[in-house]
Amino acid sequence: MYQCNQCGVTVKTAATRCPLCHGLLDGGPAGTERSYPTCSPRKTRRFWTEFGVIAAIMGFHVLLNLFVSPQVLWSIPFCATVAYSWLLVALDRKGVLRHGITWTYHLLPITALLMLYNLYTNGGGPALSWFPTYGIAFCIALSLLINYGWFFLSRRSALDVLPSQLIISIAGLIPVLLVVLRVIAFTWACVGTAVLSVATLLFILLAYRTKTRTMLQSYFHVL
Amino acid sequence: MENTWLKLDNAAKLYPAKVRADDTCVYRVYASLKEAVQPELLYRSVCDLKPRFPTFYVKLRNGFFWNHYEPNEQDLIVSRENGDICALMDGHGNHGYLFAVRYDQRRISLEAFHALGDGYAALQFLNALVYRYLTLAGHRIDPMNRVATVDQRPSAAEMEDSYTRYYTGAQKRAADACLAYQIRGTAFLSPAECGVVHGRMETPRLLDAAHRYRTTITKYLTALLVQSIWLAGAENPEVRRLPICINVPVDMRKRLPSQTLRNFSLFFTARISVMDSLLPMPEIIACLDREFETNADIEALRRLLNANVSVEKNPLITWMPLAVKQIMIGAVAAAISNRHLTSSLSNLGELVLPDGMAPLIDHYGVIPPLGTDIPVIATALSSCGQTEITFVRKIIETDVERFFFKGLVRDGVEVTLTTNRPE
Ligand SMILES: [Zn+2]
Repeated sequence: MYQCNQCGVTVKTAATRCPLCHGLLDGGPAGTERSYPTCSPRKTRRFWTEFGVIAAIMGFHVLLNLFVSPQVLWSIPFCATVAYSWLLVALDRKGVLRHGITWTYHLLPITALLMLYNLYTNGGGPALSWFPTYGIAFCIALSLLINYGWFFLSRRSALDVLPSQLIISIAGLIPVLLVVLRVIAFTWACVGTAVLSVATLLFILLAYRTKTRTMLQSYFHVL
Repeated sequence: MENTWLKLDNAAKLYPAKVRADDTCVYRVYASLKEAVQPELLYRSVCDLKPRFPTFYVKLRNGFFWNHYEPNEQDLIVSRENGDICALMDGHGNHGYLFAVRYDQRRISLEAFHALGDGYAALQFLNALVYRYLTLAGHRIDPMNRVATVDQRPSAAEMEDSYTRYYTGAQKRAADACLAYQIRGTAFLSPAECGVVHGRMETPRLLDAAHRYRTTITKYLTALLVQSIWLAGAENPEVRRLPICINVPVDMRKRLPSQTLRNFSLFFTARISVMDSLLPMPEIIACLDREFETNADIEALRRLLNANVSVEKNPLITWMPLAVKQIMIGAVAAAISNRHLTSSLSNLGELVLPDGMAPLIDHYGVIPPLGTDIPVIATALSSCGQTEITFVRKIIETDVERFFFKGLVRDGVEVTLTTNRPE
């Protein structure tokens, strides 16, 4: 135990100075202890490990792009998407995204990828007008498939996936609605996404009837 | 609880929206044993308590309008302390659980996200955990109805939202607020860093000191804190211009019948009028008497409860999508709330243990959740005849703590200190 004559307190933690007034302590080490473990610098190391892996992936694809097909710079949207995904993970870890990366965030990098691809390939690839007719339907269909994959591969409970799957399925009917309202031109991509959405809705209703009810109750706090 | 979901209670709804890396809304309760902790037994104890405390073993989910809890079936994690205190509850790293059990030498710590429950609820859970651990370690202890055991079943009363139960809709009164004096200091390098100082003392000596001023321990400690803040900021002209406002939590279970193991606390602000020079303790205590009388009597607290719950019941808020709500709450919480507070002191009172448990335990303690704008806060908890007062700070300076513990020593209380930053 140490004594601080200034503050009149006994200090139990092994230290040379008083934690209150920072004056030198009197007394011997009997009964002193390590009160808390010291922080390890693992977070900084994790940051640089991740940074190295991501930089290597990006570098490899940029080189591949430059040597194999330099006329279409597909590596730019690719690198942007990878960086964006890393940013999502980092923000999620900091607690900024609140409770995990949800399906809404999946749509963003894919949409950004397609937009950038269109911008950069205006000469060689399809034009920007390609996006509303095919892009939206494609994004929604891909989101549905990602969610299916997430459900079947990660052994999560159906309740984890049902709310997002239900919302994306309803969103999947929007392109065909836009076609009916003559806002965009007819494409088979819109019809395909609508069919996938209706099939998903039927699948949810038939396979998870009781769970759907619980899910709707918890999700909307109604029924 | 099987396959069911649970609404968040009125106070809990706020926390998921305001949580940030530097305002984690995580607090820690811990028990220091007299023997080294065995991790395997601790893990078994945490697993065994799952059916008994269903409101703790949940994961937080986003709904369309509100968050809700679902039972969490993932594996539990018991880990060694790594030096981080009340760090952000990482949903993925912790398998979605909103509490974490850690150990270090002879200490068992439970860190909990405030949305799960308040300090009282966490202490009940920790107490049950320590009891289960000691039983598995071979000690035969009669629970004496003072601790929850694995053979009991959870009651509906333990899972209720007591705020809603006592909401009458009449006589609302939100806490009125004014700008308060702010403690200044040099912030630590990282926002996740904090300094902790525990001061341990004999409860009878502390009680004697409070009785000498003819007051309660809570008011005595609050008065001492006010004095320390004034002395620590004596050089700052603002301390003579703005009032010192101390946030005091009230455990509502002591005021209204409730057994809930979720949140059921309310906070009121004890405001000490502007002091040109340092007032003596009896005058500060007289001022606190008036503040406690007007703000902490049951009718005032019921009006505050009604005001808090009525916000949630407002149709405009109810039907607002969760994402918008969270942005709004986060912005409001960041912009206004803490400028009206100087510091906070919560006295959790005495934790009563079964007679057979007390000889095996050194002491219990609490580390409060530290927000962004209030740099120094304190808690007190009594157990086994000792009281531990814990200060947490976001600044390097320890002036408030120094004057506080010096004040205790002046009043004849012997204090033993431990800290997480020895140099
Ligand atoms: Zn000292």
